[in-house]
Amino acid sequence: MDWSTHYPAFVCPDQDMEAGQPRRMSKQVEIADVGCGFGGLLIALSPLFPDTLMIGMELRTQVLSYVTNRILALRSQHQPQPQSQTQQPSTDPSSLPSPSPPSSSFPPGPLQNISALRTNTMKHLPNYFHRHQLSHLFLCFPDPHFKARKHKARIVSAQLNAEYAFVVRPGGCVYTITDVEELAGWIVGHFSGRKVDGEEEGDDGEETVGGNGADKTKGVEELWERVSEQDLQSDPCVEVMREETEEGKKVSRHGGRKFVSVWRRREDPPWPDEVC
Amino acid sequence: MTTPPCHPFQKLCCISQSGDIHLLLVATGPHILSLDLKNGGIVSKWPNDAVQSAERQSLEELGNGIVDDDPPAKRRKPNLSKRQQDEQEDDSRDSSISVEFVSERAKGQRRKKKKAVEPVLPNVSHIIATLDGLRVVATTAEDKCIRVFELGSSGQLTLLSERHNDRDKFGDVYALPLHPSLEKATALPSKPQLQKTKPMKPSASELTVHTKGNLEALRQQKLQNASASKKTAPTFEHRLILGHVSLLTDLVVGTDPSNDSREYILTADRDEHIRVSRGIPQAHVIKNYCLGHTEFVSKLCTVPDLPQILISGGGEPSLRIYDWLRGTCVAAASLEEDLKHLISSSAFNGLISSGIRAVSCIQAMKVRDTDDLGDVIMIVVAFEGIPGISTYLFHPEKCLLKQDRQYVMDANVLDIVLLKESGLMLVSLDNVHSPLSTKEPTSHALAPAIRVFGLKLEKFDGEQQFGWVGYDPATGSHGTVHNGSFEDIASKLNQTLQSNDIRHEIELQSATKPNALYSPLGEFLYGLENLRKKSQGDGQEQEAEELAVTHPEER
Repeated sequence: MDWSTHYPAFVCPDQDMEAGQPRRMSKQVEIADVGCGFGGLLIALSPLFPDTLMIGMELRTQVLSYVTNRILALRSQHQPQPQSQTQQPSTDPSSLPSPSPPSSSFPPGPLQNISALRTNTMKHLPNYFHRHQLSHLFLCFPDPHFKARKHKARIVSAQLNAEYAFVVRPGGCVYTITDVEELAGWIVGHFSGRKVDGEEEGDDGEETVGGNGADKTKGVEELWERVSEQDLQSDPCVEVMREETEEGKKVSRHGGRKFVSVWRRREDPPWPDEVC
Repeated sequence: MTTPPCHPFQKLCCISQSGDIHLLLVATGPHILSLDLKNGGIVSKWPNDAVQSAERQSLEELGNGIVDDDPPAKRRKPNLSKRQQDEQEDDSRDSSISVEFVSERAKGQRRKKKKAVEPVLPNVSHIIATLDGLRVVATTAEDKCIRVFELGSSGQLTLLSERHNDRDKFGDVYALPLHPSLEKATALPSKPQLQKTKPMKPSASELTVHTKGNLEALRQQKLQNASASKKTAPTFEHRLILGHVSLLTDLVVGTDPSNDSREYILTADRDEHIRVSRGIPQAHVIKNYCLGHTEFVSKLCTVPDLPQILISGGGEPSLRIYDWLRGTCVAAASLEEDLKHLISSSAFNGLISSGIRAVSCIQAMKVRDTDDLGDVIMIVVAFEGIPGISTYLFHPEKCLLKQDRQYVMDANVLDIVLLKESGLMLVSLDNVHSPLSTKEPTSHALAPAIRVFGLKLEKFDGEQQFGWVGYDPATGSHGTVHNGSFEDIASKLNQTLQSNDIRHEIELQSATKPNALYSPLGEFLYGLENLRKKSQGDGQEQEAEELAVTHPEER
């Protein structure tokens, strides 16, 4: 994966260009916004973690091209020196301006640390991040997939929560927000392993990995713990997620409710042979 | 044509029980045969005629002959793999220590149209044995039934249990107890009735709904009657172990070479991934992914003597060798050229069904090479719809993978088993379809349904190397092979497998569409090409772009 076109300000200086080899980066992506939409969350988070690379992942081609253009336009607006004549917004990441030599003006300019790419995250998450790479993973206002038969397409499930646990490091968090109460219950249920009121049994996806009723074995929920309400108060990400995303603003306008739950990645459990 | 064609042997499985008992299990259509590998004779056949007629009757009564008219491969094919933990001494029959993995392959499209047809027995899609060789698990394609057999010391098959699964799910792996407990099985079915009384509650109000599609979904949800028919869960005990978003294609169990109490589950999917998860009960802990395939991963293979190695084959076609515990690829080879060579040397070209090229079978065993390289793994590879096999040698110390030889057959290869102890290779052939085709009936004289090869040390390219010597049923000739003579067993197996007792006659139906890749039978026997992503997707979800497969390490 070549990240240099996404974050030109974070390319390592003094590299020989090797044919076919992506340029080395001084940082790796640590924050991912799955289903980033129009990028409101990334743009608001960018100044909070100016030295952390963030990536938005979006399935819809048109939305992706919008958010890419938006980020490039904002970057050139915030360019301190008027050297922006080469910075034409472009939809195709490969035709982005070639990485400028890391400027003497460190830290990099605003919004250099955010970018977006088009992918189906449900399928290809492990293609972008290695084990325990991420500190924050955002799932903001995901498609509720109301129909029971579509529940398998929901972005939170026992199966996918195991994949999130692979890319999120212990201590890192998955942030979720939705305006659909039933989906909020679903999310809590699938991260905590507890059955939630209103969740119908027998639906597709109702099972929790490893857990089945009286069965004592723990499932994927042993990899996650819910972050307390108190800790959420002091976490600026939560406020951004509530107020700065496009969907968040829309729900506010409609007077709807927002349900937040944040899940901290625990350490991997010991192997059974380590316990005895 | 004087004799109608018979169903080829779609699956082979070799079993070594404790002591010196070696058996071959063969699936032909709906039948499973067990053969004694010492004398080549049939020990047992399931279902036997009595069972069969009883089942036929019950099928007729049950469904009044009504079945889905989906072509077989459009339905899910249960995919089996299993392990038995080291509790063999403790011969408690009902010990539920044994766990079996059932992963499902499925195609989403289901048509609701039904019509009455002659009931047919479902075809056996997979057979697998427990490590101790005492139990055999078989699945059938059409009715998605999982059957567990006891394998007697002389090879008799006794049906112990059968479980039907009618869930419309794919990409998930379940653990089932090898022996279903009766209490649990009867306790479960009462559940669905309880939930019917639950009041129906729509999950959103207009306030929360944003898109047109969601509004429509909500409207339908409101319309939906509380008494709407529900999909019922399987009536047997099962536990979700792990899941992929896309279709699973294969599953094997790996053991940590430095700690053999730690097992891992290795699963492959049609989206180029191989996932390495901890074994039960911690399969939700993902150790890593083995990436690098650029098409669906069709086959996984582990080598008993070298537990750190995973061999995988895909639709590119390619062969990749991973240090799966580290998630690193140690060797890879594109098989595109080898496949072309195999096709051109098979002398049947001109008939080739275009586009077919996936690796359909990988078998491997450790052999010792003579050129002082230490261990060498011989890898035998078959491709879908190709009359021949290609062999490769892998040197683990040097991480060197090289092409070895190719063996042309007179019919498409369906399955391969290697018998390490006796140095034998059995190859089952599709003697129904034309070579290189997965839909045209053959016009050649019927090829033998199985071919037997012996491992021989011989001069090849000026060096002493291992190669396979085929037994020719016509002349009975062979060379001197590594482990003595295999002529005897080869001729007996050939004799047995051509006898009338085991013939399962079939009618070869032609493909429904002129440009179809498979005949209906071909779809059951092969079907891998259905995993390939179509280049022009319908509209919004362009899969092609996702094929820009990336690798996190390459950052």
